[in-house]
Amino acid sequence: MEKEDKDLEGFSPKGAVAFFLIMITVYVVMWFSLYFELIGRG
Amino acid sequence: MDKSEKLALNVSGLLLVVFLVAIVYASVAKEVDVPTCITDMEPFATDTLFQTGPDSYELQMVARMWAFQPGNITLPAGSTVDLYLTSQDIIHGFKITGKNLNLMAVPGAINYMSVTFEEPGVYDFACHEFCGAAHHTMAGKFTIVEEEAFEGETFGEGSL
Repeated sequence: MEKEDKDLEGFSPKGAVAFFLIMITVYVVMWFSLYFELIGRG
Repeated sequence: MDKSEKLALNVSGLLLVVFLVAIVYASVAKEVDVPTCITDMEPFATDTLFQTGPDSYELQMVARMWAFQPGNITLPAGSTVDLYLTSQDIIHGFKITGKNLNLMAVPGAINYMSVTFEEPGVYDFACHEFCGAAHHTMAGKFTIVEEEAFEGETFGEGSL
């Protein structure tokens, strides 16, 4: 148990954070592409 | 709270604010209309039945859980009814007994059929698309009276 805690010290979930940021970026691009398409139609 | 959790929470919250601001901007600055239900607009906002000719009538009917509005209509024999039907909530059916009229009431759409009532009598109509707990009570009727006995078209709430 103590060994596991020591292993986790200084751990940062870089992969999860990167995945999350990419996912959010894709959502934003999709949302705003539809948004501007519809705004453009008046 | 973990640093990464905080980041995810802040980014998500910020994004919601950005989306909300963009929607308000489109609505106010670009004057983009917010979608409205057909049943909030005339003629479907109120019950409507009116005469369009000597023997012809136009009827705008709204189906909703669990009634047709209007649900009780009285007309003289020989009347032709132009029926415009829509739904306020979910998909309903509309079938008049003894007549070749079978429509779906679809939210956001208006369906049309014409029907002529030659003979006096009571013509029941009902929802034939299962629409929930009180689907079996969703019905109404056309009461067709002799032309001589007719005292003006009437319509109102129907009930079983």
